[in-house]
Amino acid sequence: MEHSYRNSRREAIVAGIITIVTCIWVVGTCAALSYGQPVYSIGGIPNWALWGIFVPWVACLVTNIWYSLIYIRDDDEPEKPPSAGGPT
Amino acid sequence: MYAANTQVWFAFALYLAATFYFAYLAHRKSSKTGFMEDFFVAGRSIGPWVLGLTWIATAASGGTFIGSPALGHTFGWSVMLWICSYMVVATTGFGLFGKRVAELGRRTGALTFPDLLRDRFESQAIGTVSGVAIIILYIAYLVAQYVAGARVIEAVLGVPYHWGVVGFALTVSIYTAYGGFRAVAWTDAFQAVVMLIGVLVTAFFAIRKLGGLQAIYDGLQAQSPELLSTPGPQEFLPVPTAISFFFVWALAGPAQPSTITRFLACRDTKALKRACFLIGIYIALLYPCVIGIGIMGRVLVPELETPDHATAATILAVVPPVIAGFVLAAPMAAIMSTISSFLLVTSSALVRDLYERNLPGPLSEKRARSLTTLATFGVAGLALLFALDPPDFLQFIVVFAGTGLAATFFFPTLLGIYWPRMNKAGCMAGIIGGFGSFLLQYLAFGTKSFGGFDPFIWSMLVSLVAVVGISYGTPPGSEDLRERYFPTN
Repeated sequence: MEHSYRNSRREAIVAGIITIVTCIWVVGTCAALSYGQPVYSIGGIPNWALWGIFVPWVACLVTNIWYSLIYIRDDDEPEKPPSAGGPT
Repeated sequence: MYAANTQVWFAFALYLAATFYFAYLAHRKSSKTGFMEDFFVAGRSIGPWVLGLTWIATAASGGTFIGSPALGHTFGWSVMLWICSYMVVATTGFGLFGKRVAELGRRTGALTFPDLLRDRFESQAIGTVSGVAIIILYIAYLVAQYVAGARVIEAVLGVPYHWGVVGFALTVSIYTAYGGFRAVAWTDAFQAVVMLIGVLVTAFFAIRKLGGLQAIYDGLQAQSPELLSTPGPQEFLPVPTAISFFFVWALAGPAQPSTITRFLACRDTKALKRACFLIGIYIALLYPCVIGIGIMGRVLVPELETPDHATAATILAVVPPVIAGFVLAAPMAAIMSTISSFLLVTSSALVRDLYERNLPGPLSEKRARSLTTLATFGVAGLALLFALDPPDFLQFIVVFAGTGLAATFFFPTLLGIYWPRMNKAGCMAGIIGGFGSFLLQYLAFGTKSFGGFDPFIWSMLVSLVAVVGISYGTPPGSEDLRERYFPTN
């Protein structure tokens, strides 16, 4: 099977896994630390928001840097069609 | 109204002049490829900066700058959880769709979103159904953007609502029809920079004026401790709703035809990778600050005529008048960049997908030009008519259109580009199943369907089951088609 398709599919699967893992982390943490639990401030930020939103956000930022610059493969590009679709 | 002074007028005028200047520059750079390819996908020449910024400027709309801070003002910190799945949007948007869509666009010559589906399944019906759905749902979207823009102008400059709507419609359709995708992308990029600077400047001055994050926390606690916790006041965000919105923002935004179309204009994979990197950083700076502005506005200006004024009121309360006008251009930029993208995707659906692709012969360049201009102004005019007398259930339409588009197209597009066994019957079943179940749930249950989840979640599942089930139950597509999209070597 063509390598660029295979790579794109693998990269899409990893993007999906990142989304699901992040959802579990974010909603799980916020549900455990807020929703009826006592909330307190850490440097002016509610504790549930710090551990459930801002820390995962930083983790996602680092993951996105790895994903975009390293993980996505720079496959060979197919030639552009001379004039795609419409009139010339 | 919170202010209307000469400095604000001057800043707005300067912002508009800069927008038109970028549109002019883009028009001058028009390539010598065919008109359609140049007008709809800028000759597939868009580099990383413009690609990233036009992608996010399309996604961030009037809702982001007006609606979200209004929610922050009303419901406090719980809105941070409501919107936080933007932390994965760059990865999902570019990872699920970006590289593969760009590659297929270059390989097959697709110029529009319906082109992608029609050619993948060799089905005129799929192209037409997609085109019609796009036209209807994006016109609803456009109405909401016009209304949001006119209300900002009304609140800040004191321009009567109807004149504001007409001004918005004319301004954006002129530069969209004049320069096509390149002008839209370039002005989007400029507007995205204006948006980010505006938000960062406002957040900086607001934190400084309020005396730091702890002082903001204490101010909210004094008003109501519910503003600091979830589910927030009035049970704003129960857990099923939080899960629903995690997937709404993470998947619905990237699956919009207007955002997927951006990838068709991408130059190469290198540009796409860099754009994904840039947008991750951009989003991390923009979205927490946007909600933060609403939350801080609650402490600064607790009483508002309407929560929709939270952004403008906070800016005018904290930013020095000399630069307030420039900062107030940020919400305008968000609205204008979204309108221009929606206009382009709707006019392309009309001219390319419903007209040209159903013609027996080729469409001449001259006729394509005049039809595209006519379609752009026609769509703008139609949305303008609805916006002059805005319906009460406007926000309902916005959420309905956005999540409806994603429920309709997410799995048919995703599986269409990655799954060789999928066929046109499966694609059509996914489109009809996704949209049909979405519509039925909204009519029957409103925004909370089974288990308290948003109808979007169940509709996505119905669409997935329909695509997979019907594809397996009907004959696969031709070998030739599979080889074209999924070559064996």
